[in-house]
Amino acid sequence: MRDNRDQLHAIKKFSLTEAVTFGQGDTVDFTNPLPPFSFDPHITAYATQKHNEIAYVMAPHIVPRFSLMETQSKIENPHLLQGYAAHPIRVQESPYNQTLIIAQKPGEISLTSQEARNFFQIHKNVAEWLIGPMVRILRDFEQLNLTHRAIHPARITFDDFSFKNLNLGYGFLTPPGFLQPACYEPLQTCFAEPTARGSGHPSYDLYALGVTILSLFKDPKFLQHLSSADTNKRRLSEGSYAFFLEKQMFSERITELLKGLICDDLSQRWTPDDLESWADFNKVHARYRPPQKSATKPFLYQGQEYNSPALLIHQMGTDHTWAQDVIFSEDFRVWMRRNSGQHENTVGIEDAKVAASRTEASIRQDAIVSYCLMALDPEQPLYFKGVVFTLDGIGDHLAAYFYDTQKRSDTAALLNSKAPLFWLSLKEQKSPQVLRFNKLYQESANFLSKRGMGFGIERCLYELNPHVPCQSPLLNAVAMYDNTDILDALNHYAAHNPGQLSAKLPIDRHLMAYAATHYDFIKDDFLNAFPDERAPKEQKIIGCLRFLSLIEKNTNTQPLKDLYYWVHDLSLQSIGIYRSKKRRDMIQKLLESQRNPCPIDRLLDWIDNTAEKKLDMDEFMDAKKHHIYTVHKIKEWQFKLDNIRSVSRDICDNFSILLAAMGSLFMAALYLFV
Amino acid sequence: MSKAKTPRKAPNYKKRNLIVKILFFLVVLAIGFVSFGAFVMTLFGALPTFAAWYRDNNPRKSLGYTVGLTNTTCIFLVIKDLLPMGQHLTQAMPYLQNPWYWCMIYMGAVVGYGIHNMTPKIVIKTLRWNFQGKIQDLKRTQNYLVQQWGRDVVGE
Repeated sequence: MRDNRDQLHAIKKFSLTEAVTFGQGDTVDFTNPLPPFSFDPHITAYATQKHNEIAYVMAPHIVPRFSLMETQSKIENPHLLQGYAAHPIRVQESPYNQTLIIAQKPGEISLTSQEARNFFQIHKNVAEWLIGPMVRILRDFEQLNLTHRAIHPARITFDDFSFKNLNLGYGFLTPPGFLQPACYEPLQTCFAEPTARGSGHPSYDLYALGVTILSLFKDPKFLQHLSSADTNKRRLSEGSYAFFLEKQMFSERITELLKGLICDDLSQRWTPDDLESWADFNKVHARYRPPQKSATKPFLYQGQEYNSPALLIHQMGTDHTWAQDVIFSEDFRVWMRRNSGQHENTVGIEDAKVAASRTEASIRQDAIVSYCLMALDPEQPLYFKGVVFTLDGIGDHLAAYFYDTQKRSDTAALLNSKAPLFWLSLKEQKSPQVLRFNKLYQESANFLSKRGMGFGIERCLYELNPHVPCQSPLLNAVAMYDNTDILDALNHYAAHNPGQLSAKLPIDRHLMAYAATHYDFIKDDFLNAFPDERAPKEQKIIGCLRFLSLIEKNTNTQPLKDLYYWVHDLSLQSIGIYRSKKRRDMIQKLLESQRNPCPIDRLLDWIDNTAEKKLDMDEFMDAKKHHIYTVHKIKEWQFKLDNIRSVSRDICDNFSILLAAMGSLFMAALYLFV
Repeated sequence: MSKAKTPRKAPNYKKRNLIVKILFFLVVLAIGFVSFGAFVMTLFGALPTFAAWYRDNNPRKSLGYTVGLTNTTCIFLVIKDLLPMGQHLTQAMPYLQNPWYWCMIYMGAVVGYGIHNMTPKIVIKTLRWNFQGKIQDLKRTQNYLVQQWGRDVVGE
């Protein structure tokens, strides 16, 4: 990947009527969209000045898989198309940021073209030109624990009609499986929301490859028809292989290949090794076993009959209006026991109900349905409020719809209900991945329960999607790949928005949550002690300085000029935390003397000095007591003033007698001696 | 442990006044035994004092004392010449008929009344000036505290 660090700081704003240069000379001609590559309405392709590169602009809600793009760049495979650079952009008059990705240009001929189909149907050399390169790619992905999740005939291209040089298109442009029609997705993910399909298992790519191979021999409309929601449901009762290959006749070799790839059970599905053996014309047997027979007596739900328990559970998950009543009905239990042999599961729904009843009252009903469906069939995806999620797709879904209030709150409710944790608790094998997700979703529920800075739904967003750039308006989506440049980004913001800084703090909820996710040294204890939004401004400024100072110290960042001036102005506003004017004047003088950038820690030492604050508080309390004393004294003297006649009576009496005595003596002396 | 401060006992004015009254009459009687002329002059000269004493409702009898002090001083200055004359009224008559002496005795009483009437005005003015000064000083202290510590220092 190119080093585009110097371009991460600013969002490029432009209109789509010009050619714009990004980064290190990537000029994109926005006047010339490329229809052949616009395979999805969410992505628009544009030509660049380099003949072997192409620019893709994602729709605002599409969050590319930056982590995949970055990790994939380590794979040196000539058949894999790479991404080169990503730039945050904003098309003029659009309120949203978008992502532009410069990537390697795909070949001219895709697998969907008639020529390709003819070639593979006639020559039958699928193994040589298709399977071989694909196995190498999938093996590379597996080694790095990656999944492509976008294998589709439209994204497999060839340079020329010799079909010798295969190029597998990009899996990083969109969330995993987002672009895939339902039939290219395995049973575990095909019903999930396109944004919530998750990275899944490496064998999901093998499944997609199987359907891709099948597409070579079928009419394109055939698979399109099978991808429709109603038809696709039949896979639950029939199994994917039987569903796709019903009454289809292929050669024994191709049938074995498809049987090995298009099966629903992961343990039955072929591995890249099996596929390679097959390509080498070794004898490899498919491990596929047909699914259990469906129920003989159908169950009636919402006026429709269901023969398969899996299909019924799916229907109740997606149309959950009456699900709770049905689940706890005796008829349903009897039917489940008789037809699926799932006696244990029908007993388990009572436990599920108890577990779900511990959730918040506002989401309890939805949680009960969700928990019970999971208990009935732990192999199915996660159903919540009629939306289908995979376990690792929740984060992608949240990222895609973070600015859709309804979907965001639904996803938050799902996390809050701890349904993912219940789903994981049903797993018999506690693999490292299960344990990782368990920790992640436990933490997410905790984060949602806290309202302070660095917590809440924002924290969940970044914890579940570490690759998502910070959504803070202060950062302008600059911290895409390198999360250590938060201070650089703030410095950039300060340099470019000098007039808007006086009343603004260089932190917000997104920034705090992002930093808490990406920096180990920002502990939850620090965030718990952070002043909340209702705290006085001075305390918020000091909290903010502490936060920035912590990052500055731990990332060994040198003082940044524009950020320093911003922070310096704020620190001057924060001296109001001291009650003593004398002390405020002293600190102000200290701060004003430090006009040259210095570590934020030094400013903080002056402003946030514990001993000084204690002394200030003690003195203040003394002053307050003194003020109270003066108030009482004034009242006392005012009372005396108001009642001066009675107060002065004694004095007057004594004084008049004294005066008379003195006068008498004076008169006597005057008379006797003069 | 510090001893609690015992409140000052209120003076018993009635008792004090009674003693003074008795002493006064004893003195007047003693004068009567010494000189009849002095006795007559004292008796009639002290009329303003009696009036002031009985008119004064104040238990301290400040008017009585004030007028009494100035009045009796003047009486004693006048009768000092009569006392050696003994019981011979004829010798005392020129003194008794001299209006200057009576005028001096009653002027003494007037001065006493004057002192008693003027004193409250002077005292009140002085006290008011003093109290207002103290209040001003306290308010200045308050302003200084507010200036130094802000409005938060103003206690409830």
